[in-house]
Amino acid sequence: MDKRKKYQSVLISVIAVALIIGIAGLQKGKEESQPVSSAERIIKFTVLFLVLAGAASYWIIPKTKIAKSMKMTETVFTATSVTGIICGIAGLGAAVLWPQKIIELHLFEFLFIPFFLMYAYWGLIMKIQRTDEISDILDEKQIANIKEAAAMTFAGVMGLFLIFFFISTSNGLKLQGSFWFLFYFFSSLLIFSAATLYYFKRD
Amino acid sequence: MKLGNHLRRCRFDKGEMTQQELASEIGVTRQTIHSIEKGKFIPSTLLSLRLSRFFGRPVEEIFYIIDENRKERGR
Repeated sequence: MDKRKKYQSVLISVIAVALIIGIAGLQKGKEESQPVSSAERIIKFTVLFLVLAGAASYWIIPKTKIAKSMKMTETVFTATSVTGIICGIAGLGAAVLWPQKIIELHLFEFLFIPFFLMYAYWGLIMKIQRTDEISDILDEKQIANIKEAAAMTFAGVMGLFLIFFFISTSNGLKLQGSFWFLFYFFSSLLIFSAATLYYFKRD
Repeated sequence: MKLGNHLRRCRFDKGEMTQQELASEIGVTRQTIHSIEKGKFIPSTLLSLRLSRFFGRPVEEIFYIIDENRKERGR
């Protein structure tokens, strides 16, 4: 299986999972005695719509005239990092303020969607340029910066988790599993995006 | 040892090109050209050769080694 087919398989899998979760969520809402709140319904439909719109554009846009104007620029690269930082801060804030609500209302997926769409845009550019290699749309400094940021993220998240673990155990705090997951997810996103932007712009 | 370069001079010798213009010609970002000029980023052999071909000069005329122990330049 060549790389393009692999990416398409991954994308189809993501869409399928999103659809299953969406349909299952709607079904669950119907079955439960408590009705699904309007806020949850709006968030679910928005997430589902954005995922499907992103997937549809992946196949439709390369066949249109817009495709010619779509390029991987410095602005897109920077915008992706800035989006990641905003999503990371928003996600961490929401996880701390409403740890239960963020899962129940699917706010977690909603806050991650902008970053997902930015990466979908990268994928779209790769499809338009008919390439399987990320090195064909990014230059060597950008790839080096992403690698540095990945190493920084690994170390940063480990450090943050250790600090948080000691604080929570020493104070006898009983944090829910969902909080740990959200904390890991959004702190990784925040550190990775901030580090990528820092390394890219440092000089 | 560090890598020094005359990229800035080469740009000005070639019609006072901007970093953005050079970046577009070579197929990298302006930030990459800026970082190479500042000595913060060491380009790969491939990128060095592309720059060399673009300016029509040998790589050694664009890049040189700064030997800090000897306090002298490698060219």
